Amino acid sequence: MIVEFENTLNTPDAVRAFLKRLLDDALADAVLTAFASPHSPLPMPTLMIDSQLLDRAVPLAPAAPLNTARMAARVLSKDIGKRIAVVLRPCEIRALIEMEKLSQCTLDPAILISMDCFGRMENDRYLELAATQDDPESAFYATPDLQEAVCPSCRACLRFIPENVDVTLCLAGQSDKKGVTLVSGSLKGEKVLKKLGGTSTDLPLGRQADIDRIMARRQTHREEMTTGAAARMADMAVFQQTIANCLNCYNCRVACPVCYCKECVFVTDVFAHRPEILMGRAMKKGAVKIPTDTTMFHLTRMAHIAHACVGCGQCSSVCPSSIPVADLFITVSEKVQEHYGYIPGQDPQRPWPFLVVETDKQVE
Amino acid sequence: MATREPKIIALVCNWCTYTAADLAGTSRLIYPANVRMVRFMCTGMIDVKYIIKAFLEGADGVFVGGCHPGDCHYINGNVKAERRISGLQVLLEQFGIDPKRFTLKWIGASEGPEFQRNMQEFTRTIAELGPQIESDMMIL
Amino acid sequence: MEKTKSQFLVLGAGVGGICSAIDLAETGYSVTLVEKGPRTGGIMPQLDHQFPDDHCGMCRMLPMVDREPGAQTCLKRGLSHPNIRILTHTTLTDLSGNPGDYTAVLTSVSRGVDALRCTRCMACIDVCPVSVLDAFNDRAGDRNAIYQPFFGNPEALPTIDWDNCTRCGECAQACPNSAIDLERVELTESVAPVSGVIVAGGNPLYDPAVTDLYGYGVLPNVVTATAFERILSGSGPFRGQPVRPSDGHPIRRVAWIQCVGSRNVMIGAGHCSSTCCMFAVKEALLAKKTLGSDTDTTIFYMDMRTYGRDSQRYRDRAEEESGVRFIRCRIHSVDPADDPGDLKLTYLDDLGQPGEATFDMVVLSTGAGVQKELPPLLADKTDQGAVVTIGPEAGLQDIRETVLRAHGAVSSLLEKLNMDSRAKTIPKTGRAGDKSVNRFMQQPVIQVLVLDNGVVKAPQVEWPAIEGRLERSPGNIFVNRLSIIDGKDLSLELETVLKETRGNRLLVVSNHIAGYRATLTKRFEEAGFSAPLVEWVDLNRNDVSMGTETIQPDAAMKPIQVALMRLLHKRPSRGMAQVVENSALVIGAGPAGLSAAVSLAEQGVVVHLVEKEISIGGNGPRIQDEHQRRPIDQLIVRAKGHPNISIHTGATLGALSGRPGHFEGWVVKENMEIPLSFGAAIIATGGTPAITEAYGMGKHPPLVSHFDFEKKVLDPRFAEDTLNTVVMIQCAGSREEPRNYCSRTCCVKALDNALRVRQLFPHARIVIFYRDIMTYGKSEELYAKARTRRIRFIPFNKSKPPVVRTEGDTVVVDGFDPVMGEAVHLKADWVSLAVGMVPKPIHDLCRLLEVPVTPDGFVHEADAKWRPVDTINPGVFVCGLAKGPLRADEAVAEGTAAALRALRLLNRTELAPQRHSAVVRHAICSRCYLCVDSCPYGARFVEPVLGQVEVDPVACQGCGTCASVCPNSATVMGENEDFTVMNVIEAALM
Ligand code: SF4
Ligand code: SF4
Ligand code: FES
Repeated sequence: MIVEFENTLNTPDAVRAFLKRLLDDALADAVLTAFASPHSPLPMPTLMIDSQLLDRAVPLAPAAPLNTARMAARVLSKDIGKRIAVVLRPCEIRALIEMEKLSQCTLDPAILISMDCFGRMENDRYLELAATQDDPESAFYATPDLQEAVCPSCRACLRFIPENVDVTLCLAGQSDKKGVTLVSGSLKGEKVLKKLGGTSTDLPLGRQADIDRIMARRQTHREEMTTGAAARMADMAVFQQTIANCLNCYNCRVACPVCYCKECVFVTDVFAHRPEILMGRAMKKGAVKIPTDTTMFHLTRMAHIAHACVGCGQCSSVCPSSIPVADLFITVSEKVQEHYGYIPGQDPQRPWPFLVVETDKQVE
Repeated sequence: MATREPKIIALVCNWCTYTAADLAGTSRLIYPANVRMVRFMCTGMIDVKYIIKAFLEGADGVFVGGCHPGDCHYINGNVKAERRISGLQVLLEQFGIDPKRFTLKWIGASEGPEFQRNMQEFTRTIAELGPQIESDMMIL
Repeated sequence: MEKTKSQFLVLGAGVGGICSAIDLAETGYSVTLVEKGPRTGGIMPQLDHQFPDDHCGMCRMLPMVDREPGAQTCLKRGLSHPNIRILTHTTLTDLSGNPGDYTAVLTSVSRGVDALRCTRCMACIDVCPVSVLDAFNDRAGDRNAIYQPFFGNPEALPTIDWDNCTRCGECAQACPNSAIDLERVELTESVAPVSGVIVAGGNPLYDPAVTDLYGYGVLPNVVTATAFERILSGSGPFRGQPVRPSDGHPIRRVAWIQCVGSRNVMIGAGHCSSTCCMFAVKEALLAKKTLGSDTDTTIFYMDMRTYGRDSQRYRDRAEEESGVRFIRCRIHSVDPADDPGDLKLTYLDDLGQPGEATFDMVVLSTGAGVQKELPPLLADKTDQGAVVTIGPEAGLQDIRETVLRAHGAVSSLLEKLNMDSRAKTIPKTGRAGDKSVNRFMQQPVIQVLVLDNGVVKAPQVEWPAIEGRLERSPGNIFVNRLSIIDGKDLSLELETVLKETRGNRLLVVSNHIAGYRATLTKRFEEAGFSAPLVEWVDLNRNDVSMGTETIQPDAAMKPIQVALMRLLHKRPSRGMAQVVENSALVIGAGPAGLSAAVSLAEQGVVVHLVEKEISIGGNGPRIQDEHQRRPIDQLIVRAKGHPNISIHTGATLGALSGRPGHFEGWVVKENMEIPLSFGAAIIATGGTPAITEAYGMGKHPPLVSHFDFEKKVLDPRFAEDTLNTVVMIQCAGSREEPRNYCSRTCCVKALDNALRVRQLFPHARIVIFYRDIMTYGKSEELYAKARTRRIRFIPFNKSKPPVVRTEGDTVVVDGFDPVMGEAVHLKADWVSLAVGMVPKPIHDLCRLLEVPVTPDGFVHEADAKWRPVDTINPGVFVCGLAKGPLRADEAVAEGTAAALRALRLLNRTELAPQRHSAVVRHAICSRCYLCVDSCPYGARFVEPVLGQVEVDPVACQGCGTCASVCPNSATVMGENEDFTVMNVIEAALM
């Protein structure tokens, strides 16, 4: 079902109005979305019950200082009988779907809402924008130049149209129009839209053309990025050079929406080497860098989740040493995902690839 | 860098491939001395970390050997391992580690000659490929 | 370890012998396993694959519960268990006394090689000038008169074959260590008291040389099935690169001739050997695998006896997917063909037409040979009940059957001797206060024992250099060097070191101590260094010393570093001992369930027998033949009167929780919930005749199932009617999808019925339409008898079954008799359909018990061959029709087998924690449950309140699948934790 909503308001306001209606009409018990606090324009994922407060929500702000999928998974870690509308970027939706496969959350009580994603800016860039613009959201969607200033992984992201959501906020092809076009992607979404009572329409006219345009640009960026990244890990020596400034802070893994471990193995006793082991290693090799296992960490993290990488770019954004972690990840994951025929977030029924025992080989 | 003997590590399962290795030994089928064998109860317990670790510790080749599908003492540990390992192979290839350096083979308990053959071939392949990682890189 | 009180003798170390020895040992008794030949394992080390799954899996016979006391290695290379003493080259020469208290005299023949001096260099084998046909390869290869009989066991000794040794002395001269003694010595020992004896002599295979059948012995390319398997094998004479024996040509065309030495009254072998059909199918598949899928494989047969649950599908796959050809015929002869080496087969096919084909090799499917008579020594005592034989009366058996019989034999032996089922003789490890346990609790300090075997000529080792390096290694390490000279100096010095050492882990570095290992292990154990605290490095091993005169310190340090690393990481096991309850739940009170219940109850186990119906007995009381029914009637009486059995009829299992050794649940009976707790459960839910609509069953009154027909025939009124024609149609609705299995019992029943009818109506026409007559084993004689009683057998193919139609009131069966080459139209008074059996619905029950179900609805056993009455859950067992079609007497036998398996668990008071098992570190576990899904044993479950993952310590087999799927090592494996393994890898790559 396709509904045109509030075509008198400008788009960000129309989206806010939509979220408010969800609460006011009791279509949802809470909304989880980006919210700018009085202290900073940088939006933080926030669980909102009071519809008045939604005035300050910035669901379309081109910023995501932390990964909302992980936060959403926390709220949805079990079904407590409350319906929660969560507004996430397509990459975050993908991550959330993976999280459900890993029993980290349940999507039964969730109404998944996502938008055609034009990307997110790095935090400092967004703060700059917010400092100069009253309505950074509208400004961003109105200015193609700004849309080029998003972070590298967004520029190279090809999956910017939501999949597996209940409601899509169509933004592509919307720029010179008011209001927002809502598309349901499930029975659940359709019910919501029916209750809203909007008029049923078609997709925005310029949407496909817009998508194609963005896609073409991104494909170029992506090629550039993966070629560049491939060169930076062409062999072990080059790769070690690429990650030479890594501090083993593990920020990348904390930021990653699919690195779901409660505690990364690299901070457990598995890698907390006893002095005799360190001495032994040093004796064998002549020296040993401490913190140890830097190369090991990056390779292992890839081995653990490359098949599930959703390409959000958070890992690069949080790296204090400006290592292009996401470029590397996205490049590797492309290959690994192709190998397993596994596309994260695409099919909620598809099991985690390690678990699949090829049936012709399964012998009882 | 000076050429050195290739370092090869064989991670083998206790039930089949290890028996095959011993069978090769008792049948006096000589296989190259640079193969170092580490025994696991099952290939299903071989973690991706172990393989990465081996390469980072200077292994020029990693050989994983287990029971034929269906023969796994633990029902299907070997097929699960195959699944995991195949992805790792693709991954490591991105870092310039030739997939040939890393193989998984099923060698049954009575296949002593097969074990020898595999070891010889693998060692030859690895020798041709040359060393994988320089020793100063192992510090990191 | 406590001393075991009762001991048993098992004669023969083939599959049956090993199986019963393990059963007895695991039930808590000590066993002396006596083998006449040079090695254990029987035929198994000779075979790489076994039907019906083309895999080996012999290791699955090893204990699943309390696994660690015995060696965890491939059983083809030998067996080791603390309760089992193995004597090869040994025979029983006398047995006297009474049941429960025999004295046995065992005579062993020396091997001619001194275990302590021999370094396993095998120089002797190289020089031996004698070459004999190798029995291991069934004459398809040679060996010397001194040879290594064990398979892939680097510690096994070479052995002299005294019959063929010429005493030339070459070997003794070649031996650098004077380990060879060419005098054959017989040693006698007496063992007492022996409670009972199991005779597992195995079945000799038929030797085709005796009758010179099909050119065997004359034409080199005619071989037995065993020999062909050896030819294909990697450990065989061609080392996995098989060629034709006569001329080394590639093998492209292979023929199998079935029933060689069986089903042939002319040579006095009226029996069917039961296993050869499946063996041939397997071998044809193996040939295709080894020689290439385009290899022409043809099986020439009379009936393809794929009776049993999985066999029919196996055969169908071989035929349809792999292209194995099956030709039903009678073989006329095998002759040399025009091309040298090739063989020409001539035969009469099932249409009576002569045929001819040429092959590279012909394989004779030789069945059971002439059964050896039990020596009078034992035969005298079988009546007393304490000398039990496995199987010979039933002839050759496949693995599954042998294993079942071994379980049954042990069960009946224990039952007869009325042994205290809780003989507390299970070795206990890991008790607090035990020196070894205390040592485990300490920071590792390593005592290195360098054992220099100075006497033998093994590669020289530069000990000081190695010792220096060891001392410089980080960690607390102490080194002592001792020399072993023929074992003499070992005692005093070692004692002092072990007593005074500050070390709490032992590293033994030596250059050849294979022969001392057992003694040393014992000494260490006494000094408080239990096996897990000790690592061994023998530098005389192949990979270190191969082809060298001296061992370089560098080379030596590699394995030493690895062992050191392992020791540094050894930690105490973290589990707790688990209590075991001495009671069992038996579900289903048919023949199998009753037999299991009675057998357990007799051995002191409290049994809850739960039956869904209102009376017990299952299909038993419906058995028409009184002779077959009597044993079941007796079981019913025994169960009803047994003080250890409580019977709940009209009841089902309502809920279940717990783990093997201690389950809790309730049975639901008339809306009442009766709580129960028990240590093990046995599923014996049984089956019923299948309902089928095949041939219009149910539409015409003269069409009856063979069960109903039997009832009619036995009814005295039946004889009063007139009867012209009876038609029987076999395999109605079975042996094709969706019910593609053979029910095993229908052919015999049809023959019985036919013979009964013949007796009542000497002139009636009796016709049996069949696909294959499945009269395996002794029942073949029934088939032979029927053929002499003017019963017409008409074979049909599943694609062209006979047609049943009506002509007015009469039923007519149309078919085609290929033997006579004519169409037949039979007006039948009765048409009896062999409808087969289906299991009772068990899905809900199996879900409760966490046991998988096959597509046909049978309980899935843990392993079709090696664990036939076990399930994947070590606390749940299965027997009878619930698990596959069988006869009532077979069900009773399976019941006792299942009882024994349960007893192995129940006779323990508790289960020791296992070192190789998984532990979850809840604090860092993310609850993704990947491990739960990937555990092949269902040993993991989610605790419902916090969602924590719990491991059932008994069900966990330590495979480590869970640990490798867990990304952050929240699941860890006892001895193989990630940091241990990674450090070991690092050490190995030094
Ligand atoms: S690895 Fe990086 S790009 Fe991939 S999902 Fe994680 S944070 Fe996002
Ligand atoms: S998967 Fe883990 S819990 Fe299951 S048997 Fe293997 S080691 Fe034990
Ligand atoms: S036991 Fe050999 S691979 Fe699992």
